[in-house]
Amino acid sequence: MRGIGRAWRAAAWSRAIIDTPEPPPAVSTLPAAPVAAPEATATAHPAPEDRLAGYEAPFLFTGTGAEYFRIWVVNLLLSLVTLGVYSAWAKVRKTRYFWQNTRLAGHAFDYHGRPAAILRGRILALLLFLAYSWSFEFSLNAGFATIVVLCVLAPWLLLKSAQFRLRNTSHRGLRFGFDATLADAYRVALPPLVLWLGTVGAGATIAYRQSAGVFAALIILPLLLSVLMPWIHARLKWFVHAHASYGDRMFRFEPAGKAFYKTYLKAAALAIVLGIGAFAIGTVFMSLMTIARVHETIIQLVAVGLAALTYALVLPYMSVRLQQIVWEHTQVDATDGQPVVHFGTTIRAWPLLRLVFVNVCLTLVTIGLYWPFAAVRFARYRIECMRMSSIAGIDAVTRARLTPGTSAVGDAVGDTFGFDIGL
Amino acid sequence: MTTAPITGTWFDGRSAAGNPVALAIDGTTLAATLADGEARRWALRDVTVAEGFEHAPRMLRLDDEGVIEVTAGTGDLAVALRAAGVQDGPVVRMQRHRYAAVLGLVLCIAVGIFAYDAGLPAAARVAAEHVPPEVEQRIGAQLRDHADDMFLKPSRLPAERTASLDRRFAQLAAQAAPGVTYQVVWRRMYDLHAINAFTLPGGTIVMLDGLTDVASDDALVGVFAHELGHVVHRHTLRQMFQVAGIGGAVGLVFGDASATLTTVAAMVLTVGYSRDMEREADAFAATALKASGIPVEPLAEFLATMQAREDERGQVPQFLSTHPVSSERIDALRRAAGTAASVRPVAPP
Ligand SMILES: [Zn+2]
Repeated sequence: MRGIGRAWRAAAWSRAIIDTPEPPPAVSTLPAAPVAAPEATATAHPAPEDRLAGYEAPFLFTGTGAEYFRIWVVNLLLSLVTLGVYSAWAKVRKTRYFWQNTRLAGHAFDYHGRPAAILRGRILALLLFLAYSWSFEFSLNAGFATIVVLCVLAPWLLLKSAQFRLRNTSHRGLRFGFDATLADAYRVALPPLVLWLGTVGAGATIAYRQSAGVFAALIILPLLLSVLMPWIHARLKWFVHAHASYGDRMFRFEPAGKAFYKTYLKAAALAIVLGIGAFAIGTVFMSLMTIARVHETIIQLVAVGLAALTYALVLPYMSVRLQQIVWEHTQVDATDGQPVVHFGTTIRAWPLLRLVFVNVCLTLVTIGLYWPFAAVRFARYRIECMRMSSIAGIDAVTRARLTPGTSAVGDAVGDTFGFDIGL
Repeated sequence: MTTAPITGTWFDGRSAAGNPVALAIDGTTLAATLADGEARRWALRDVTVAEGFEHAPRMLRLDDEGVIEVTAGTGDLAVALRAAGVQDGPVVRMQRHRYAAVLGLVLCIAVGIFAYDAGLPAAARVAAEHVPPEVEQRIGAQLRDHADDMFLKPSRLPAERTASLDRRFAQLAAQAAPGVTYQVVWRRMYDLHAINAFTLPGGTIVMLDGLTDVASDDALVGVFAHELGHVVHRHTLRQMFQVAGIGGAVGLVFGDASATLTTVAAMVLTVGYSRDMEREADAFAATALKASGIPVEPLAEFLATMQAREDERGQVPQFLSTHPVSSERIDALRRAAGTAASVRPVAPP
């Protein structure tokens, strides 16, 4: 009955500014048999989470570790026995489990990805990976040719995976959509790809030809890449969030470059301060340990541990702050006079770090068996931190319509290859 | 009907506004009664019943006509569906079975152990046998060029020294592995005293100058015999396939987890394979040495020296990074030396 407590807590979270209940349940007009229905509903899941109580809609996650464990084990077994072929079906089952257990304002999401498409996508990805890992064993030129081909394909893969993911997700019987063009994908992906390819190319040339130009490229290109990183990252988020749609409602993503730069700079400053601290502590420890003739491996482990600690403190800060920024800048556009829908997340660095730490430790101690429990705990935290708000209340969602000229079941022809690459 | 009513929300696929419905399954049709009393019916065979989860609403997908989201915890849809002859799929039944978790886990572990112990090594062996020699040569040459560019330097040993050693190697190879293509190349590293030997695909055996500082000539022939064992068993190629296989299998288990977890697990698992290969190469070396009438003990002694260096200085000699030496390995070599050619008595370690 943990679900109920959680529902109440989630309900308490939502601030009731304007009380806009869902369109009339009109229970009394229902024919004889189902009259008792609302009570039955209420005992299973309390009423408040069933509507967008005024201003803010809670996200709720109802999955449990024990239930997911059984799904995970059975699907893992089938994947192993079929030499990985079943993994595409397993992927669909697992994704459905997470989506169907995610509720927004009382209604669940659904996933429609077809296993055959995912299998085709995986085979293609495997072929690309094999080409990548074997080409260098043949010759340097074959290796570079493969890298260039992969770079040319990368924006297409990016587009296809976002399309597959969104078009196969639905809520309240309406599909999400993704309408970026291939040109958009190339515009977003080309700057980092060109800079990265240039760096790799210069790095490879330096072994044969040590000219000033190559040296300059080897310094300028990575520098440019790191200076542009926040901009590149913000553009990638823009690409995914600005081209999404829900039915006929378009998502919008406000330019977030500035906020990304601020966060990256703060994270860098934090890393430097922590790094100096870790270095000072490390130097003292090293000299003490060297005097005490401690085994070299242990000294190395301590150094790696200190570095990892710095990383472990900076990374959650950055990831959390960027998630907040991304959702603060995401909106659903106003159509037919409807106000805008806003998003947010209450995710915090410290709880996230604690959760990830516990998850990793328990997964390692149980040689992987804790993994499904960890996945569920992580999903619950992430999902239940999400907020959606609109001054129109639930109307902001329920007024969405199917885009004229499209089908309610999505376009099956479009997804020959299902790519499930996370972004 | 005596059971509690089944209620849900019908989303027609055209609008996100939901219609509360009361549901009943009657014979082969699904009947929904809307709030305004309107009744809708669908043939059950046109309804895709999604897998049910403990706390999630169940989805009855109606294709073009949207979906009915059955409110979790109302009525007993599962009973009604079963009564109407709609069965859960075999996988769903497995997932829900009381002992599914335990049985699945035991089977997973069994399959995993079998695949790790026998399946993958056998598959890698077959795959390695099917790689044409030219391809293997090519891969080896590529790796050798790369190593020469990055960290290897030409040997500084006198030519007559390497030539005389190469002659001894050739005698042993002709005796123990006739017809096997191999070539020995002498190199040194930036760190002059690096002690190591390794094998590349296609039969290239790289010996480092540093070896001659520590190992006697008999021990050097022993090291060569060990590397020749790697060549004969095509270990480098097999290891490439095994690493790829382990990567894929680990990806299946933790695929939706983190990349770090996947990499660490794959690394730990491949260590086991290199240990097996070292043992196999040692066994080959012992047999080859004995067949040529060369004592095995110098090789065992050399390995013991390498191991002792690690213990004393707390610094891992490079040799050990590619050849994990264990007391067990040294003992095995000494046992092999003792049993057949009783040239010298087995010295207790
Ligand atoms: Zn070896």
